[in-house]
Amino acid sequence: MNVTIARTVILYLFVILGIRLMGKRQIGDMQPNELVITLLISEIAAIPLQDPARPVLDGVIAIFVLVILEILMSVLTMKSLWFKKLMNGKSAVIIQNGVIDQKAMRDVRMTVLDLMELLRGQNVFDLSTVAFAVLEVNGDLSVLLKSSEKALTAGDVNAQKDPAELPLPVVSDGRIVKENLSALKLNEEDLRDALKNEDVSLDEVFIMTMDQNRHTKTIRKGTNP
Amino acid sequence: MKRLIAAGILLLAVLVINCCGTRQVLRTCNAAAALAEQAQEEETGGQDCTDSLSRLQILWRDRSIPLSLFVNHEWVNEVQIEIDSLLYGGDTPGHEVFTEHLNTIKILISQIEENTKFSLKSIC
Repeated sequence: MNVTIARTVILYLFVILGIRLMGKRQIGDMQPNELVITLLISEIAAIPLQDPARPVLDGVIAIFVLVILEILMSVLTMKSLWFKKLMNGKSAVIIQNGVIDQKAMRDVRMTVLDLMELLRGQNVFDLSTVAFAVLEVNGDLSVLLKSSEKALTAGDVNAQKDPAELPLPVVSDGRIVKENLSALKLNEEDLRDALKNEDVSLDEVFIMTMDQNRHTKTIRKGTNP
Repeated sequence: MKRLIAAGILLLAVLVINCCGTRQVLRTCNAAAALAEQAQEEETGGQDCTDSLSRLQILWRDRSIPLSLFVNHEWVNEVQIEIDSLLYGGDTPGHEVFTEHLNTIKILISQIEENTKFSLKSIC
């Protein structure tokens, strides 16, 4: 039993290390090789757990080798377009200038019903409103609506809007997030002034976000819907 | 660049572990095989082979933990059991039984060696 616990902890740490080194991706955004590697790592990590007679190093070395291969693949994919196309495939334009490319659909083995389903996932219920639709390598459909179907923006009506500011959390669960304060080029003095204006103490804050113009949004602890 | 460096470090770790592990296993197997051979010669020659067997036991026992890092634990334990059964098996075993145990030890050691070495057969 103790052996199982120790092995589980060791392999868990190495799997986490491996996944961390491979970088951030969600399952749906992974390229085929990344998905294969992730699945393989989890399978390989389970083998020494199921068979206590197998050395732990068997699993650890296999994980390391997979991570090395994945990193090399991703570097090669970045450096060489040809290699990227070979490993990941390429996007397919399914709808061009409002016209469905039936040959492209046959090439990617997509039916009209599949296309409609993907369009509905993008909140598009009318095929005639689509100018371009591109099937990405990860299976997502990117849609560009016809100009007449797009929602109005501030630019269309020449409306003045403040430039976009990125609010960052500066207090999290009563603790100051110093990196974000530095990123906003603010200091703790500024933060304390903001807290005074909100009439709240640091300990009472669940989360406070601030932007460079010192606009704040605060949620106090214990606030429930 | 950072990821390439990380990959390089991991590759180095894999190569070092592989080389050290292979060397460790092969060295232990060679030493154990030599002691087993010596014990067999002494027994065949009518001499007392207890000393050789004891050295073999000590060698295998001392190296069992580093071996277990690279080799299936059941194989390591099987060799240990065969050695112990020769040393602690009660009355002195007859020549045939003794030879049988020693041959088993040599076969197991040879199997461990074969599985450690890199070969096309093991890849296929």
